[in-house]
Amino acid sequence: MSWAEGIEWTRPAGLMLLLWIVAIVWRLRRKDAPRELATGTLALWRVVTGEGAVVTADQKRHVPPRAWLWFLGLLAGSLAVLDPLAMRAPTTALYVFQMDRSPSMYLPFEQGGTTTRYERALQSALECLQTHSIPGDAREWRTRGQAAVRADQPPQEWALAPKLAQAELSPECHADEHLTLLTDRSIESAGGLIASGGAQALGWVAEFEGRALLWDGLLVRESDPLPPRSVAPGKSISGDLAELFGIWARERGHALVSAGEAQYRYELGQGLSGDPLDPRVVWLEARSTQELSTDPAFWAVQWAEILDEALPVRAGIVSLAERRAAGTASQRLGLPLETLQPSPGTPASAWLALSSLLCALGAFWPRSGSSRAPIARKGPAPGLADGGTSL
Amino acid sequence: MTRKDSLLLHDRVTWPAGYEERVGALQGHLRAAGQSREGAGQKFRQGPGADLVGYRPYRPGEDLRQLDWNLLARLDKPYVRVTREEAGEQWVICLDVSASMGVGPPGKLQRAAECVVALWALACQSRAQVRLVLSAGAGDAPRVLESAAPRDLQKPMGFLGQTRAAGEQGLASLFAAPRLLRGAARVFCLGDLLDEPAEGLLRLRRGPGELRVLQLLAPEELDPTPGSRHWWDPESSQRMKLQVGAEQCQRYRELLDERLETWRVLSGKHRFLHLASSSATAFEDLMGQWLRR
Repeated sequence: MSWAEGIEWTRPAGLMLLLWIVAIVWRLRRKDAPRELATGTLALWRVVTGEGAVVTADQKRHVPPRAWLWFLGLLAGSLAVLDPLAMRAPTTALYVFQMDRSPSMYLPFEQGGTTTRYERALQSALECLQTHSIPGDAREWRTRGQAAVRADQPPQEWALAPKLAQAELSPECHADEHLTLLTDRSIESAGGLIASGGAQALGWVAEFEGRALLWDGLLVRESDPLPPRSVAPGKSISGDLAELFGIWARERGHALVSAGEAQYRYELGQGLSGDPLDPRVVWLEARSTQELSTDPAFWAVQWAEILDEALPVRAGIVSLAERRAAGTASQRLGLPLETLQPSPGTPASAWLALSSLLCALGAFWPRSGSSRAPIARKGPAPGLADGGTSL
Repeated sequence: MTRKDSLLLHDRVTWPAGYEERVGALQGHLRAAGQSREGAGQKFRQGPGADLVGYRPYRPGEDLRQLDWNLLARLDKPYVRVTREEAGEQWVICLDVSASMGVGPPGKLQRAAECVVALWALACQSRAQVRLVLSAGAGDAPRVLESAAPRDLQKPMGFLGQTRAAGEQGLASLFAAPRLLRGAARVFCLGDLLDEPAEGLLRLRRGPGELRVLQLLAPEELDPTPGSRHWWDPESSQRMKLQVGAEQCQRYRELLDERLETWRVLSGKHRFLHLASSSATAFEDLMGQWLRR
């Protein structure tokens, strides 16, 4: 890749100025070029310059330094007018994917099948990349609540439903033409979209008072009572909060057991995603707990809501809206991100303009008074007899 | 065409429009000038003949038959009779067509050829026989155009029009073939006389006839100007690049003047007429200066 590909000209029409410089230099060269003349008195010139003199260093065409300065000044000035922007070394294209990890993505793609909509969408994305990208193109995978990952494929754990259900993709993602959404339903406003589609997925859609609500495709029916879930307060929960936790568990029908036996152990801490090393730990968001009311009654209500929201949805329960059919598949790869960007360094045009000014000053600086030294001769001119006269 | 040939831009002869009329006008002008100076005589036509027009001091080597013994007896000094030529006098015109004659502008060969045809016309007027001899140039031998009825100018013009300045052989190639000049009452030599051995010309002078030499140099050869130069000798193909200053130009002129002065000295000593001039001079002016002297 040549260096010129890394430069962007703000005013490319200024390239015409370079033609002027070429014309001027060509004119100067023509003016300075020695005229090749036939002569019959070459022997006399030999006598004048010294026998055998052909071309000495002093006699070669001499381009005065002022002419060079003038030329360099013109060149720098012209380039300054062009206003170049040096670019970073261009890299390969970057495809960015926003993964939808809402519960619907982990439903079967087909009724009775084992492939999830997530897996199907990811497979389509990889096939699409194989078609459109070239080896070396980068891929970035994003999802809510996780750091972006640059890899050929997203992390394996993303293929499993998160412990806490994620909301659907935010609307601001849709309009980004450089972002490809991996989801199950087609979104018209999305810049890039890989939609898996999918058939309706029958099953539990909600849990209500210890019973699951089962959707059979037409009606929602109550199931038999569900087995209670066992919970336990962690070490970080103590005092009034531990007492409240016990009341809350009893009222919700959860079995309050020891921390080692509990299906879910609650802890105060950062984040809602839970401890990735221990999926049984339910973290209560610290920020929310700091905003609790000082009124004891209201404080208890607020804590009850926090504990309700923190409890993971029972496995297999997915809302009816998400279980509905996702329609047909859709593929529209988003535009790859170009990593070629103007460098934020010192603007080159400013330096070029300064260089042009300095060259111009040098070229037009008053002479010190001495003229060019006479052309040096190799030796004293021989006499006429030595010049080969035939007389 | 080679690069060498392409650089020699004035190696051919082209006849300017109205040239023949100019030659006719020149003939009339020279005749009138000759009459005003010498009455009925024409100075440049003096030579061996029957009509006595005067006397002049004897020069060593001249034909003793032309010596006026009566004057020698009376004055004790040798004088020869000067007579007007008669019809049938032989003129030989020697033209250098070596490559250096292609130097210009204006081309030396061009100007010399114009003078040659003018001489041819004057020979017509004088009822003389003309032999035009071109130096060998790039060829093996000199080329000759001879005409017993030389009134037709188209013949020498066509002959010269096909001539091209080339090669290294100048007038010296003619002097090496004396048979071409045998019997000539007048010999006219035209060339640049650069690197020509003077001995050949001086050998010509030993004959009884008259010798006139026209040395033509290009303006740039006569009076160079300072600046960057890339010179090329068309005969030796040698080149020289030089930044010429005023001082070097002056030195060159001094050297050239020395050479021209040498020719002048030789012409005075050996009694032949030598004229050095620029090829930029019109042929009418050249002929006027060359033949009236």
